[in-house]
Amino acid sequence: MFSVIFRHELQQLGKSRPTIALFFLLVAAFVFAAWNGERAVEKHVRGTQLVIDQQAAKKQSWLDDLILYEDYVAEQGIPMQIAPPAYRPAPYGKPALGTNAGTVGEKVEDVAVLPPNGLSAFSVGQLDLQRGYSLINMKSKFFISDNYEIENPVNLSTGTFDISFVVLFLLPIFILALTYDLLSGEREAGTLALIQTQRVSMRVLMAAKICARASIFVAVILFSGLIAFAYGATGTIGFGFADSAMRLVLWFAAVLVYSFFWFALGVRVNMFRKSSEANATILSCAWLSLVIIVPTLVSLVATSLYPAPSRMMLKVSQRAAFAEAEANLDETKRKFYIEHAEMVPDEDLEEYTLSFVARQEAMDIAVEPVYKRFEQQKEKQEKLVDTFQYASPAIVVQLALNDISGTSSSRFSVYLQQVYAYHAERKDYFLPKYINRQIMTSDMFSEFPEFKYVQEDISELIYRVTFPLFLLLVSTLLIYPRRISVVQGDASRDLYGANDAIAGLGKQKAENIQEQ
Amino acid sequence: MLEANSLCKVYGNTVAVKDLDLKVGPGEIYCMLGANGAGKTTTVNCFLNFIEPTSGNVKINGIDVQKKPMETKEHVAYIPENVMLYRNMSGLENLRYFATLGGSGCTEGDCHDLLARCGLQPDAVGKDVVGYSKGMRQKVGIAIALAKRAGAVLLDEPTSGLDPKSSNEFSELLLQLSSENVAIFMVTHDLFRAKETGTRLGIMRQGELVRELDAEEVSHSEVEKIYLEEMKY
Repeated sequence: MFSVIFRHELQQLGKSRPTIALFFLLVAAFVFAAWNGERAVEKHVRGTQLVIDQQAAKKQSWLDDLILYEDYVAEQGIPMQIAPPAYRPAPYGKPALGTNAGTVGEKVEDVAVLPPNGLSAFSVGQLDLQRGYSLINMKSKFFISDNYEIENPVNLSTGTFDISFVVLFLLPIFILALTYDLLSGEREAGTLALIQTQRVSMRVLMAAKICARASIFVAVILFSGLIAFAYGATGTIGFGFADSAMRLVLWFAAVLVYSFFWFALGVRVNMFRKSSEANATILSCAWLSLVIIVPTLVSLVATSLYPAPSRMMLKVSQRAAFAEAEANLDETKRKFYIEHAEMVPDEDLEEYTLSFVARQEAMDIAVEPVYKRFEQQKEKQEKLVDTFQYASPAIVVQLALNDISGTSSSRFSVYLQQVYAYHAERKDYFLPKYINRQIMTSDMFSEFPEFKYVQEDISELIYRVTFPLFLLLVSTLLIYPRRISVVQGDASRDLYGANDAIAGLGKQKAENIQEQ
Repeated sequence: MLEANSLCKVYGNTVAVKDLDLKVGPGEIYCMLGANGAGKTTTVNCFLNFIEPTSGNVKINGIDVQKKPMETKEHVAYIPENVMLYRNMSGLENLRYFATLGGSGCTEGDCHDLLARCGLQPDAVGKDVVGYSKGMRQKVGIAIALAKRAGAVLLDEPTSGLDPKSSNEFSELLLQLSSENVAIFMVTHDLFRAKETGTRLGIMRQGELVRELDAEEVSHSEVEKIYLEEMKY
């Protein structure tokens, strides 16, 4: 019986022009979103690669100069000398800049890359807000994070038309468009009464109707997901196919659970036995509340209760620290040296070096509390969002999709922690050499610390994502009505309505008979 | 085959059916007459399990409708006053779909025969229902009921909208079914048709069965006279 109704429903949907239009619109939305997301990731990767190439060329150029200088020194049989602390042209025979650990540590920066994964194009998330790389030198930590967006990290971004946007915002509309009149449509068309006299239970009827509609969406989701995955293979390079494939499975799970939620809601509203127009109004309000209003409110509450320090505050702290550090130094000379480091005489180099280090330290100490507060506030915001995510399936799935796609703010935080640790490591490499005025050689250039982003194990992601999705699935099952048999009254109401409608005619007929 | 025992249905303060006792045996055609709101359709709805009786029970083939609704559906077919079908499907497709839901598994050849038997023009069989008249839809509805090969048929003003020729053909169909031992319960306002086809006639007034007549023992004019007398109250 199920298969008969299922086939019939598919046939009905296939004959419905609005349904066909919706289908193509949904496919088009997915295709455009996939293309748009992939474009954002590609731009991100291309920009990062450009910076990597620039830094590599710079490092090579400094190394070439150093090798030239080493060759000259060997040829002349003279000892190597250390270059002055900042850039100045190094003519043949003069010490190359590469000999100075401070200059190399400051100017030859390493690029710490946060690589996108295989599904980044699905959910651009924070990619368009955050840079995917950091230039690491031995200066203050402030300079690393200077370019990062630190305000409102949990804001549910709606800016990018990516696949997540289609899933979160558009997919429910398409689902509701096909479910709002699931039973009310049959009732209003008058076919429900005839169906109810056949040997078919309402549970089977409803299940077949839902499955027919769901099969269309599942097909579109699977097809679009696989195509987008194959098309956007950019990120698979870093973490391998297995990682990306596992993420794709999780992505499918998240999207399907989300879709089933909206289907269940559609069925539940049809149980109210209201008209199709009333159902459409109720479901539109549900969409507006669950997808727009609740997430906005949660985000608003999070940022209002735990506001993150602004960039302005960070700048003010940094400048104050800078000013204080400078005030403690020999004003005129230091200012001159800071502006014209290439003119620092050898006898003052040690003092200059120490003042440089002191300034960086002072800046680090000054901005540390601001960062700490930012981290704390962000943690509180995320905790609050995590707690209240269950108020809306859109938040649950948005967080899950960002997490699966590797574009979540939490992944960025983990990356930042790794960057700060690496910054300390790089500083530890160059700073002692700089302070001790150790001459750098070309051999050392291959020994510089290098950043390697450590991706979390996929099992951690599965653990993190599965629980909220499981709860969403449970709530979906709870929303789905236990007893579809409640619609029995529909047909009778219908017949009653029909009787009432013809009551006038019947009465007239009876009166005619009486008259005869 | 069809049985109502002390059937009562109350809507708020309105008594739709009051203590109805009724039996329609195999081969019998019971025509229920009565003004609008007399409780005729409510009785049909109780048999179809569309509504629950306030008290009493209804049985089809000895099975309590409220207790085993799915089992009773196997034994009963229904033709509403206004047969509504899927508009974007042909009469043939509608018949095949509902026949399959009814469990009879009607082949295409059988369906063609049934539609022809019900008087649907051959050129309309394959056309979408959206272009059908009410009478044409009614014929498909009758074919759907026949396809089920049920032991009992419930009809709610089935000839409403049919032209006289079709109504006559329909009456012949009912007589044919009756000869096949099918129990028929028909709600109608058509006194003439009721007398022509029915074996027993019932008159309902304000939820009560006030009169029962043996169709063979009364003439057309007597039926009309009795009916109008009952309606005076």
